[in-house]
Amino acid sequence: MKKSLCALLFSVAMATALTGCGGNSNSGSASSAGGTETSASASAGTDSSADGKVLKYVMSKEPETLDPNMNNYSTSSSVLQNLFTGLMQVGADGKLINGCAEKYEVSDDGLTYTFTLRDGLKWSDGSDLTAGDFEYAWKRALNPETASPGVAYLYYVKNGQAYNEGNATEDEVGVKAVDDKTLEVTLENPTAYFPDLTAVTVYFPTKKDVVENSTPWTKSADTYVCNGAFRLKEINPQESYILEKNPEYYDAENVKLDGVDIIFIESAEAALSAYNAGEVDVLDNAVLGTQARSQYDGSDELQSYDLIGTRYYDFNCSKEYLSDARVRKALSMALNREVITQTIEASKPEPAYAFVPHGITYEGSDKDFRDTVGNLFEENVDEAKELMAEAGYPNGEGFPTLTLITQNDQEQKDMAQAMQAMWKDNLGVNAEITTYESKVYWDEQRNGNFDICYDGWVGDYPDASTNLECFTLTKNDYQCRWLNDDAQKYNDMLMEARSLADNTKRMELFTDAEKLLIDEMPIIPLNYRNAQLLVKPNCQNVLKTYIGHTLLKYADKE
Amino acid sequence: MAKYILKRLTAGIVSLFILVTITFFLMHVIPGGPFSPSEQRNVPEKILVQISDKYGLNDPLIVQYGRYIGNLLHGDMGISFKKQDTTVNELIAAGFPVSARVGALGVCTALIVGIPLGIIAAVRRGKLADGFSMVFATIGVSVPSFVICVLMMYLFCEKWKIFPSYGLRSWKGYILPVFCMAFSQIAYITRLMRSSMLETLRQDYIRTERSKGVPEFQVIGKYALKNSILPVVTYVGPMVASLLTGTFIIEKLFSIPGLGRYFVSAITDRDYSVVLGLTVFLGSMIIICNLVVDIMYAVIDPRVKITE
Repeated sequence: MKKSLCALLFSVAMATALTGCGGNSNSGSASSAGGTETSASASAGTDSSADGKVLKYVMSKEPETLDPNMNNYSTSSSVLQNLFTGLMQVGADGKLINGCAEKYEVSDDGLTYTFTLRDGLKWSDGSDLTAGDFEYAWKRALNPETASPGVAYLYYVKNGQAYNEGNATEDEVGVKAVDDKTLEVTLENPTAYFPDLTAVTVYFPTKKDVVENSTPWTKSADTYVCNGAFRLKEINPQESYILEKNPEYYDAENVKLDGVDIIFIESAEAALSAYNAGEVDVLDNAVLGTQARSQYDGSDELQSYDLIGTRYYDFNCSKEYLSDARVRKALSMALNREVITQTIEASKPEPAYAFVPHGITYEGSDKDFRDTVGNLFEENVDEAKELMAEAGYPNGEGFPTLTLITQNDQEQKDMAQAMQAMWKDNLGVNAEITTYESKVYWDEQRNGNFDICYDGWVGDYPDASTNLECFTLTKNDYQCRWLNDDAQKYNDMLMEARSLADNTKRMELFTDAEKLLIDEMPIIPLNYRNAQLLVKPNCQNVLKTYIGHTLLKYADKE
Repeated sequence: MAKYILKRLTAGIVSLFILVTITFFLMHVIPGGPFSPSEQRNVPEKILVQISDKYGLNDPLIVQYGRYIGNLLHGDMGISFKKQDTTVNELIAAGFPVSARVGALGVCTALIVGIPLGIIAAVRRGKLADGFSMVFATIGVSVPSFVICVLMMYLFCEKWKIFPSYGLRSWKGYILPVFCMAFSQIAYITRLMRSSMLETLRQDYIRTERSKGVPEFQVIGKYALKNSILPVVTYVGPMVASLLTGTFIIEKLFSIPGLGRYFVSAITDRDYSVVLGLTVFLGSMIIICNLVVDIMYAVIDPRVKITE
């Protein structure tokens, strides 16, 4: 009796197990027909030939918004840059080219830009796109009631800030559609890089009746109207966005893909697994873990792009022992950036010996700003020791233990530990590392509870002001606390450059300002930022802009 | 009975209210906020103030609390700070069915496998079957679920390409997440079932049944099972609540568009309304599941009397 019971129960258990196995073995045989590497990609090939060329692009998370005028996030920009095209846009070679604008003219004082739109521009719903749509979109973003997080980009437009802060009327804002094809923009100050700004999502046009009639218009593909290379076909929250080629796009004949599936995979392990299994074509920088970067190290599939940004550490200059520029320089010079960037940072970025990164233009030079100005300091342990001795801390004697704060992230912690060891070995200076969860971290920095803190910045347009203005007095108040006379001088130089139309003079001011910054060293520049993409060999021309947004409109897939 | 249920539900609402209140204030005590000026430094502070105004974050905390409770009573859990134009109700409405589907499959698998395994282990105590289930159970309890997930994903998705690495586009997508979710639960239920069954089999009335010549199958299935399953039922209540609302690790790793991921991301983002909304939702689920469990007791074991 006992036996029969067991037999029965066991058979129940076995049956359950077997159904599981049955499922496995069925699918196992199904995929063993297509199980090997080649046939798996072949089956992916049949997939894409059925729906045309569809690129599967993996992002780590769903964009915060699909409304370009409300956007200030890089995740969202990576999607929006492919759904919309501004007056100007970033071209396939990473340089600025014309977008919706056929041409533009600048007045002699550099204050008025007149954009002429291309003929026959259409929205993705087939209706005509006019200069008025740009005017509407910009004013909408500037409207204080819209409370757009990205509005600061529009402060360059005359009375933009005043209107946003309630000190001017909408009509006083310096943007006007003269006729359907002409957009006249008046600026607050001459801004040489204004055309670059028009490629930022906040400057994209939006269609008035769509925005006003179907709130929120960005929640469904049915109500979503855009003007870029692709348009929305499906929104599957948290899962995927399905983009299809926009037949109304003015340059549709040069868009080679028939569509893009943007898939959201948060876990780096899962994304790598999907990539290795051939389920997806492109992995974005944010889902590339250390494992992916080391597995594809040296491979053509791992593509690196320079961003116009720098990773650095702030000194807390308000601390008495850090108020001496010699001490700050010594600490910065005693590091070995080659070791930190090449062995600890998975993306192996270029070490920084100045602040302004590569890719920033130097007007009047063929080379970029960095190559024109060159490196501004060197690592030198002996000199660093001398500087410490001059400042009254020979071999680190009498120097207090520094508090180095970083975010709770493995790579940042490893970097901090390397720096801690280098200071100890080279200068006899002790440092303590404290890590915080990211939100708490920024509060600690703002409140000044640190000696040295991790920081970083990626610019918005390829002009040195985007980087150098990180250290204006108002910002220093909350960050490096560099507020002495030199900081004042630095601030004045930048403010002077803001008001100038003369580019030669601006470049000179930027060069001098950067030299002063590095001479005073209120920060430790560590490396220039980069972004990487993992791209299957059968996909071409997927690219990252200098800000780090992914452009898929030039991409092709075999 | 109806009166009992009503009483329990009223108590549940009171606990929910306390839960919301504590969560609300605790959340605002954590340093950092959804629109932190030091984090979003390319946004001028005036704009951050504008944005905070839009979400009512500049009002005194007590005003915000009053407004939140007022809206909650109307079933409105507010809008997400992180994801623009998205209400918390929408997030839950979109995420819960997905989480619940995976969770329900996980619960069923755990029960269907766990209970028989536990019974076999108890009946065949000290034998091979017992040893086998206990080894399995020990592994299941001690190996963290993310290790199982990563291992399964590596083998079945990357190496053998049997299942997809992400999403729930077909039935194949469900197998690994459901398995990984059920794995540690199976182990726990097996152990629980085994010890409780062993305890029951020692009882006098079982001996009586056996001596009467009742078939062993009937002794176990009819008399012992009913008495020994109570601890499992107790455990199943909260388990159902937590599995149905989604598991963070499973949902993150298998890219399942459910609710589980928000539990962690909303806190890191200081997305107050989402944190509160999820707390209320999970809280109500637990209260309901526990109530169902208590009613089940009475059904299974007549000695348990529901006092009116």
